[in-house]
Amino acid sequence: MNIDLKLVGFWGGEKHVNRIGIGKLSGFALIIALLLIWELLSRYSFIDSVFFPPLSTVIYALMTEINSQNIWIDISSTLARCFSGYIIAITIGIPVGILMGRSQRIYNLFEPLVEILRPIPSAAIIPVAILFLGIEDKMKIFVIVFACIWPILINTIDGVKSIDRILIETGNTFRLNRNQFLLRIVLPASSPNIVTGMRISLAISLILAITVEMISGNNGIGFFILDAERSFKFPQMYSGIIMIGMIGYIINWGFVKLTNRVMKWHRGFTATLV
Amino acid sequence: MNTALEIASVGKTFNEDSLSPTVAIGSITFDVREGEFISILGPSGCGKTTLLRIIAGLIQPTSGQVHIKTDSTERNLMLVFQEYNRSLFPWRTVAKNISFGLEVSGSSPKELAKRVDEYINLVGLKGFENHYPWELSGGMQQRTAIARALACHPNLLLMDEPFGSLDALSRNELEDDLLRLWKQASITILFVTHDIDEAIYLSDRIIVLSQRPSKVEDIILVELPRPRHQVESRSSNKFIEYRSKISRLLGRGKARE
Repeated sequence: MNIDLKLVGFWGGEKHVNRIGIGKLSGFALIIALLLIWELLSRYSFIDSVFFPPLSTVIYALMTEINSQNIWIDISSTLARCFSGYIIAITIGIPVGILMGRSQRIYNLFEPLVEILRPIPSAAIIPVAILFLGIEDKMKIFVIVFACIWPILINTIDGVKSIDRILIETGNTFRLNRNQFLLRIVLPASSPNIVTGMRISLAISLILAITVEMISGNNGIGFFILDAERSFKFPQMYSGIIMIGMIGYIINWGFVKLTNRVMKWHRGFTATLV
Repeated sequence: MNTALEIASVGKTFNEDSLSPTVAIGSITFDVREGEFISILGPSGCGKTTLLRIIAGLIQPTSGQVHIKTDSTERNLMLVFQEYNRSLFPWRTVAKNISFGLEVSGSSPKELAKRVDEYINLVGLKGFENHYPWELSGGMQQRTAIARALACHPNLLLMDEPFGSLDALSRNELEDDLLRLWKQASITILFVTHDIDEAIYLSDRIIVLSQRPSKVEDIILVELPRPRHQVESRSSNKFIEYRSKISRLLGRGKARE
């Protein structure tokens, strides 16, 4: 018997099952194509090559920077800010979110405040932060915390509020004390939402770190990029942008790898619910 | 025999303060003796589950009292839900689910490992220790939930239509396993069901509830010999008599509304 398996693709046509995995690589192929176009456009002067140096020049600048000491100081100070703010946001956001999710009274108390503060673009609070905290790391980390806390808080509240009633009652039948209940039932049960919030905030922490470094100070990748632009070192400027892109990519990759392992149960569990 | 549980004029009204309060349970009174297997049987919506949740302490009765007799100061009861897939902890493996009650009560790791192993064997889940519950069939999941409850060594096991969402074969298998475990652990079981045959097959006594607002319609003493047998017990004349009697009871309850 001959069974003809035909899959219908996104556009309704027949989809060819790809056995050598070109489908997965097509995204990278696109990036390489765009980089090539960049090189060509700038090398043949379609665009002013002072502001828009060829890719090869940028890569050369990138290599030179990577081999220098200074850029690593910038990278590490950006990461230090980024993670300090991120970790503070997690330490505040998750417990407060759990309390707000569990207690209607605490929720009623904080919810209006959260809804007023949350829509404020973080960049808009930088002037206020400078007034009260100065222009050094205290201010920078505060701004990062301000930006990172909302996704973590909101997702934690959602996660806690949507815990299955049966699961809560099961916890109650075990006569847990408050800590056991929060740590062994509420936290793991809402962890999928918490992880989602943490992932969003991780990207935000890097964005805000770069932003505040451009406002003040004399180190960090944000400063490096702005400084290169102001001193007309455009290849360095682009290399800084590429670096920060790579750092963001690596951080996100690491986070996904780590959480996929911890949250392995969640994928399997949700798959059984459909 | 000593009394394990006393239900004294327990009533429950939902939305008491509203304009249209719902009287779920009128007034229910009965006793459960130590080591008994009691079923609570009634038409759907008669407040069986509500009664069980009151006994478990998950909700408060509007009137009446629940006395649970126990040696220790803690009321040592466990509840097994019908919704095993929502009651098991999906982030814990089978073994970790079973050990949950022991972990939170502070058992030593050695004692814990020993007891988990014991109950895995008892419910026939050897080899599935490290599976997650959602990787198992419904019957195996409910076995896990039963083992998790029994591992806490409760005096009283409350079961809320535990086999209600299983297929007929797994259901019969689990009924027999439950009877075996009940005998081995010498515990008291209060079993809520809407399945007349299941109640007769399992129980020493059956509390038949009326329609809402529910009260005890009758208490049937089931004098079928033990150990019971899925084919022989169910086809015996006595079994059929009990079934007709209860059907009539429930039918009368319905006609009254």
